[in-house]
Amino acid sequence: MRKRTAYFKDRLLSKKWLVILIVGVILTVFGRVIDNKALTQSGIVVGIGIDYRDNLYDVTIQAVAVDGGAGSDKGSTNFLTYSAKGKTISDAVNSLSEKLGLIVSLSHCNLVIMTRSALALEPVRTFSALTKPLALPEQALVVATDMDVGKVFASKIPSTENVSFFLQSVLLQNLGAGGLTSVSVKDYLAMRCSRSGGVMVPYLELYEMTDKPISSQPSEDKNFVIDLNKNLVINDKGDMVIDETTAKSANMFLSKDVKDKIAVPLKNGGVVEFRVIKVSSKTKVEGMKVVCEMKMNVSFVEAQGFDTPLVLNCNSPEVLDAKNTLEQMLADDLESCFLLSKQCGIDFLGLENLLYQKHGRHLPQNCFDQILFEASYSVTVTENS
Amino acid sequence: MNIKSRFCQNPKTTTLYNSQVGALVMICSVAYKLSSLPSIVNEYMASSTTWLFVLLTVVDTLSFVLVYAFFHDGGDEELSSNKAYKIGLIFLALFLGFKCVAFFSFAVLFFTVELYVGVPHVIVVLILIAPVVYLGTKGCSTLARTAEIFVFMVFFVVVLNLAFLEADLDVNRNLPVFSMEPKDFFAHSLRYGTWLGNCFPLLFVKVKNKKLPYVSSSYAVTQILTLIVVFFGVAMYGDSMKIIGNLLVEISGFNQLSTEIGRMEWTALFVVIVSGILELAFLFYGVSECSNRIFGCKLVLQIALPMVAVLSCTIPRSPQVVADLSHQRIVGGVMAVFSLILPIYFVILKWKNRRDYLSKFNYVREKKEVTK
Repeated sequence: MRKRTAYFKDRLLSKKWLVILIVGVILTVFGRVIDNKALTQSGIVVGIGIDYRDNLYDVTIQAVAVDGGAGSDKGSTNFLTYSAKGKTISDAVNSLSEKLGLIVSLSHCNLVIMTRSALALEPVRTFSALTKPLALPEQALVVATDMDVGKVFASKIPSTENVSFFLQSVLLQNLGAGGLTSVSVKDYLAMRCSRSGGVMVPYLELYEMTDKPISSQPSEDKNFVIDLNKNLVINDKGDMVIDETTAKSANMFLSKDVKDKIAVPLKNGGVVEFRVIKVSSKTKVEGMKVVCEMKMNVSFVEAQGFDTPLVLNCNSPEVLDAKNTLEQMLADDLESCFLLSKQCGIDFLGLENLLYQKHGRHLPQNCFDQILFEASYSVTVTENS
Repeated sequence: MNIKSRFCQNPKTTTLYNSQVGALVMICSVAYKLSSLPSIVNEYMASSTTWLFVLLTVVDTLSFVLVYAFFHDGGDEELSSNKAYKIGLIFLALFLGFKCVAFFSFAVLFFTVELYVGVPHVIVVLILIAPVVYLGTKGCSTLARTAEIFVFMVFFVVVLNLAFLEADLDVNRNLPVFSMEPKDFFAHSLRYGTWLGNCFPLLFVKVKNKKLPYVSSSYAVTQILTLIVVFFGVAMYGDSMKIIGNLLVEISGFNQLSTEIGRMEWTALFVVIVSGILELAFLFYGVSECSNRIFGCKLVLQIALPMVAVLSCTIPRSPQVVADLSHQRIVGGVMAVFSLILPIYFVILKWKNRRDYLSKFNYVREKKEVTK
């Protein structure tokens, strides 16, 4: 009996158990000393908007509030929009935490809507304030707008009801036309900090629906439609809104995943429609000139307005004629895109980056005006798929 | 057994299997090189970041080859009573001690800035110092066994984070190679000497080889993985990599699985914390062994170094002061020079010792033959 007691005493006081006891004490002390907020005290924010006016940051958040207790069948999700102003972003977010009654956490926020004035601020400092102390994921999408951010978030979208989810769905799945682009916080910063300094972000406009949706539960709420066909191009010197055609050309050059249909009108009155399957670009730098060879695979969709009884296919002369016209059209659009970028002084095609990668430190600073650009398109038509 | 006999024992060279050495090499080369260093380098080097890491890898490999040449057959045992060796160990203790203090400040900053915002530094310092001192005091065998437990997890987390990486990459962001004049590039690269020589505490071990070449393959795999991670980091972030706190954690956030199961940074967090603590403990072990050989007692530096680490993080206004000091031009340059000179010095000492022993042995043999 004595031997057994001595054996268990030795085991208890052996080093292994002593270490475990010390670790337990340290962790307990650590846990009591740290004021770690519980998850139920954090507000889940799905979208954040930032405006900058009169030297104040106007921050709007769209937070999720779930109604209904445990076991309840009638739980519902409400989206609450709050706005607050502050001298810094964190100052404004603190005010929002007071209004919300919860600690604002951007860990689940995948959308940042910024006005032009907010985007014109120094990007690294602006976004560091979101990603570091507020834990905004760097995968969050950046969208530009000139509208009141609070009104944007408060708008009702018939399909998803919620602006944040609608935008994330459209941008991540590329459900728009060819001009639609999606830019994450990481990519925005990478492009703004690069030699070119220019970046293209989706530009949001909101229109009220004229015809109300037909619903079994009619409501007097206004419904809105979001238009993302235009893009905003921005650099340190300024910004500009570009139209859909220019945005599409730029997207194709930047090898974004462009899914679009292109209707090619011909001189004889006929129109041939192609669906874009794949676009790739190959660039060569020759001195200060960038030569771009674009390759596009399209599928023939339909042809209208042709005076022929034959069924047209991808080898028909009419379709091949449309293909040649398309090649010229796309090359002209891309060169117009370049001229526009030079006109506004915003290198959103990233041409200066290409020159810098080739010439290195020998490339003179602010040489965008001296850059030349030549584009050609090669289109391959496949059968309707 | 009193305290003096417990802690002030004769210096002993620990024998490790080469697989254990390989595990230590992998874990202790990943932590701080892939956490804090990439963003610090990118601030000055921009697109040349990856190429600077290539240069650091070449220098590190050279010093590792020399260190391996010293320790693989017990160089420490042979030179234990050599005065010149003890002088070299003084500089080694200073080198490893400064590395330990600098990395400790980076670890404290990581915990207080990236993880627990608003926590007083003192709390994190006291929590962190305990496992580091404990593991370092237990010795290299304990460190090696602990490394063996975690090495596969560290390896697979890094590899799987790269395999499942889903982000917009532009590999051309790694160009041009020299974003500045080559002479400025090489002069500037001296700043990062503090991140060299992570494997120097292996000078106090002896290797027992198993069949497979674990040490060389582990070292090669680690360096290749490091370069791949940095390459992808620059391809993802370009010149904006300067704003990120920890590259390993950020890369793990861009994961294909994050849309299914949520944010995946926790996988890299685990790797960073485990390997960070092990590396600190390994450096602490190196300093205690230097102390044992210089002063005849481990306790001297085993008490001094933790005190310096704690005070350096608590007395200045922030651990950022020490962190910034670690990549100043002069400090970094001195550390870079030591990272090459010290292994060369030890290898030359070992070679000279063996040559003197052999010449003495030949003299005695010749004398015996003459007598016959």
